Amino acid sequence: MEFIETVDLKRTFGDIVAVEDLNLRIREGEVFAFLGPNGAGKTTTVRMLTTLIHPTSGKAYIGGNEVGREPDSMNIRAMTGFLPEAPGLYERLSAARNLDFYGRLYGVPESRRKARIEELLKWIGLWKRRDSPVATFSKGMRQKIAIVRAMVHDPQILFLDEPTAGLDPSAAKTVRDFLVDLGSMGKTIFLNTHNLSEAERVSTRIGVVSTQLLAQGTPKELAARYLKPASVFRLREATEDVVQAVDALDFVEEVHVEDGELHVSLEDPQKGNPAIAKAVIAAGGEIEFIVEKEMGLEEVYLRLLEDAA
Amino acid sequence: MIAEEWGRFTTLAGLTAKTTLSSRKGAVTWVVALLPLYVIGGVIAAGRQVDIELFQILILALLSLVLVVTALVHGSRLFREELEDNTLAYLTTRGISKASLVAYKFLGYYGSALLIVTLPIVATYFLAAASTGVPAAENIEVLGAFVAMAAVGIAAFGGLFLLIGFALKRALMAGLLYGFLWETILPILPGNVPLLSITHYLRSIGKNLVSTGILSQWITTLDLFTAVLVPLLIAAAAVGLTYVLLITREIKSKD
Repeated sequence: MEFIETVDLKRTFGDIVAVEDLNLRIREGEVFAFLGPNGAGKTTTVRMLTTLIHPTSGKAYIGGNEVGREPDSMNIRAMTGFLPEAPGLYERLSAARNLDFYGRLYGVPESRRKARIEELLKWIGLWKRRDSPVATFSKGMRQKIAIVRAMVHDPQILFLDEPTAGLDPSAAKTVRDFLVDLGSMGKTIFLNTHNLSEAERVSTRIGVVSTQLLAQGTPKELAARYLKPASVFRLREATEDVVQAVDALDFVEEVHVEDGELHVSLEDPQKGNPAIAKAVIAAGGEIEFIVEKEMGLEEVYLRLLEDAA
Repeated sequence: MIAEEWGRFTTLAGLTAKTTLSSRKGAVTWVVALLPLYVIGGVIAAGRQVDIELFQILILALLSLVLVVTALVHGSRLFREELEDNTLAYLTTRGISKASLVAYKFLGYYGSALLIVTLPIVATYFLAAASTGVPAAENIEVLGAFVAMAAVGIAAFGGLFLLIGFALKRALMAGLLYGFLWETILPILPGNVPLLSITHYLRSIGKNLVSTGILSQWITTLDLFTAVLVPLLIAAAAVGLTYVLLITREIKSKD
């Protein structure tokens, strides 16, 4: 079942097109990473989906509710949690009071609210600081409070806009671990990020955006779709004769030497590797080992952005 | 449904009232609102009785200042602080309608600001009555007139400053200019010009409610109903306009 769906979603600011022809389909329970450079339209998309701004054209649905239609918007707010770019916590209020305030606005009954706040603050390790004003918290602690604030009413969907932006590496890791935990709880998560390793580690599926959606799928699917398979031949010495011999093979698409290793792009490595090995040996090369080249998300991402540009 | 909405009202109005009454800015307005008490307390301490005439003169002189300062400080910050602290963007995406958001915040302000303004007036009245030995009930309509003026004034000025606070970054400056130039000069100009100031309507409420003292001599053609209705309509229009701004203006998380 599609839990989040956008149809030709578009948003402009004056002459500037922030998001165009966005067609997304995100299933219930998915952790979807929305990946793109700064200014790609990620935040604008989340702001539309969380009913903060209206689309210029196109439609978007969250759990069957149409974004921008007033009775539906209230349902969307009730079923979603949102971590904005800036946490926007009440600095003078304590951590527990911040959560209690939003729990009340959501109409969470007092007994459940108290239990939920205790559960969430214990989960993020801030239960002992529950009565401290948020103004006294570090950036990482505030971010964690802002994330659990989005969960105080136990929403089905979480929109997280750059949850680790501006955090030091250790705080960012804490938040990332936290996102992995959230994913394992079965929540549908829409994660805005420009951090590739974060997207790869946390998400089940990725959408790459640069104003328009460039691609979506699992990292493996994207690699298979956008990158040619390649084999890496570790040689005692990668001589020019060896390179020429391999390059002369019909099925080899590209060959180059990198750190003393021969990188060979080809359609079907399983089929082509024995013939390449023979050609290498015939040219006087000595093979130490052969491995399949790992196709990272980074290569896919850069390739997609390059193509889009 | 009603219980849930009531919960939202008490939460939002409660937080607003708590901030109004207990924040540092709240403390400043308490100090200003207590001015009538200091002045009349000082006059009594100096050995002079404060009769109902003097009570009216002193309260009238101070009420405009107290009303404008209290409404300006608390009305203008209702949304301005939320915008500056980046809390409004989140609040507007949560489980409360924007109409409720504006209305509950305003009501939270109204109740608490009214308390700040009226408590000192009531205390001053009883102090003045005690100084003369006149039974407090004898001039109770004067107290009633001032409380009514405060109740209407806190709504009208608060509504205007709520709107200014949402619309302008320099709300405090704009509010000070309005409160202390417009509202000071216009009520004393001839012709129909005073009708453009809220102060004129407030003093007309007093004129219609009391038969003695300086208030009863206020020059006005307004009846009580009009004098109450117009400022309340101004308040309603300003609150309504703030709602329109909230639904039409796109709130950024980093405004």
